[in-house]
Amino acid sequence: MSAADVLIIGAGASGAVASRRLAEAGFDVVCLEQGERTDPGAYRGAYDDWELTGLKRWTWDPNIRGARADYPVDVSESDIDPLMFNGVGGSTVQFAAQWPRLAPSDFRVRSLDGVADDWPLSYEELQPFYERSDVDFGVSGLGGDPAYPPGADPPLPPLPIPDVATEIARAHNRLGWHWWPGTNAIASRRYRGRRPCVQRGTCAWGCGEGAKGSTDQTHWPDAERLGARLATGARVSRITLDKRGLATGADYVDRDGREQHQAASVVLVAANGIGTPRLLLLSRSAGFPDGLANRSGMVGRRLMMHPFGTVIGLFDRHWPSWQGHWGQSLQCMQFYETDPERDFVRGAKWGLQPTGGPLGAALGFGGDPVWGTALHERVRTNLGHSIMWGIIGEDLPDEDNTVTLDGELVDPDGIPAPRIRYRVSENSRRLLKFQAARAAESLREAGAYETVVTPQVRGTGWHLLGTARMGDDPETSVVDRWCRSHDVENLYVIDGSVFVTSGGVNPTATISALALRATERLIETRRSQQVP
Amino acid sequence: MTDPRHPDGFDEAFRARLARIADVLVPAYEGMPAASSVGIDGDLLDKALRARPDLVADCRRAVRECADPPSPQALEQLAATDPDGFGALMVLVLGGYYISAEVRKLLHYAGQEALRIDVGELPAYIEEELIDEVIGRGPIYRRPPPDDPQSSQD
Repeated sequence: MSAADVLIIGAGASGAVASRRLAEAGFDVVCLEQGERTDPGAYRGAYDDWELTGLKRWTWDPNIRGARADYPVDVSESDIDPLMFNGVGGSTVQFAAQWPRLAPSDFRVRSLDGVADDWPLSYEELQPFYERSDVDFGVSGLGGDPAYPPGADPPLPPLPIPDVATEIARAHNRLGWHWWPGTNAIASRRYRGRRPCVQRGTCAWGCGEGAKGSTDQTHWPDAERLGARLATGARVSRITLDKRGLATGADYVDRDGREQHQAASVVLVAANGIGTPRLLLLSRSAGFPDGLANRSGMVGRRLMMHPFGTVIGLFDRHWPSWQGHWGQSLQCMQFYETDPERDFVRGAKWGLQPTGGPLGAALGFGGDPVWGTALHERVRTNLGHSIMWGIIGEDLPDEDNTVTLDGELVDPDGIPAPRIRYRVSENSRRLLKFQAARAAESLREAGAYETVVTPQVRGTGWHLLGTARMGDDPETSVVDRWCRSHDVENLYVIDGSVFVTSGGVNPTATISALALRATERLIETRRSQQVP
Repeated sequence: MTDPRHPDGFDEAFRARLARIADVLVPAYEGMPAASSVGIDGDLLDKALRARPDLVADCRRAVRECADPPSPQALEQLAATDPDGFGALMVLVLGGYYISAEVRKLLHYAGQEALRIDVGELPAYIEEELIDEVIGRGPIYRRPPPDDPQSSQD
């Protein structure tokens, strides 16, 4: 393809946000995506084999899925398996669409709690971009949540919640605990050509209705209509530089295995917290022997994946517990902030979710399948009688949690695969233990006769963050507050890699807001932008 | 020799053997039928295999490895010695079982249905003023100090 003003690598949340905004501003944009477009008609949620296909074809784990678009990840030294979807829309195709924001304190954890680092921006700076993203993604929710500063209401009313969730709300009122109707990037009404949610409960395996705010639905149609050029089956192997050290584009392998080059004046990397450091490390050169834009040594360090906890409540009452949005019907931020009385810092957000179908109940979310008469007992007590708090806790950065290049493992095009090393911290273990105990208390207060705390399981690394962190100091960070590389003037990282800390919430609202903010800055400063 | 009608090697004898294993995994219990009685060795298995063709080899090996007639002890041993094979059996047998229309009817599970929602209807948490109590308790977020040296700059 002809040279572009801007090359974007990755067509997921941040890549789509940037592509659409840049195309809208008149830039000539090319986006290279290693995966393909997915026809929503291919999703299996409406079919009786959805749970079976969800374990392979539509699993979140690229090592299990093993599709042509995927690259393997060496997880032999990781406590958690990273999860992602590679294709147009990226992991928004399979995300749960929970759409909480970071809290104001998340941007100042060093100042407030003496741990990790402050962000070089504040909640107030990001808030306008959160609000614009809410509109772009078609977010449903209720304004006025006291867990956040005041601001614009979500553009769509909240999705309905099941009666048992209302009972949990009553329980939290008795306990004096926070709860709020869930904020989700799922349309509750017709919205910009999208149909409303049908509560099928299979959001995380692809939304066949088009109600979910995956960027193949929310952003790419507009971006392409505005002229953005999206190339699929294009796996980038290297970002190229000129003699001045400016990015000139990228080499990639097309779906026929041919090596190609895409020239551009500016390069934006949007390949997620594993793929981005992988690509920067693959792009090492004489000028950058430790990886592109890595003079700080922080590329690939501080990987954060949010160890995930769940507590299931079993109730005598019967309701279709497999239906709903997945998604969160309620969210709870009662235990989000640091309390010096506890043996850990920071906190967690809880999201109330349905519990899936009979096969999921039988195999167990915690990976503890049962058979024989115990199978029937498990399914009888869970299916139609259970609801789940999903707990996302702050995952403090640790420089020894890393993404590096594997010496042997390669992807289908022969490009070195990433290897991750990740250990769940003691703070995370204590945090999750405390939160799980409180979540069980919540469910018991609401009438659960039993609560089941599932053990920490490997396959929960949905959130890939921190491996090209932002900061004001080029010695300790990869990109500046505008997501521009400290080392390469016309190179930006715009995905979750730039997170300074993880917060204790699902990150896509923040990833999208940061990408929009960085893109606006790029547009505003285009006349002073150095280009090759 | 491979039966040309069953290129995956899942011939009638194999399916009968698999059904005996399936009945240990999913026995009849308190009104729920055993796996074989809903036809796990027929269309249900085929449907499960179409959804998970990657499990054919593991399933074939596991069935051949497992003692016949099978017992709970034999399956526990299989799970210990061949976890991949046992896992394949579990997914295919349980997955096929819960596709069965008869089983779903007994569980009052009609699959993942499309429901029409009405967000114009006032939710109980508004109508009963439950949300007012949350609002009444006031903000719960911590606001960083306003004189923060790293605050917004352009």
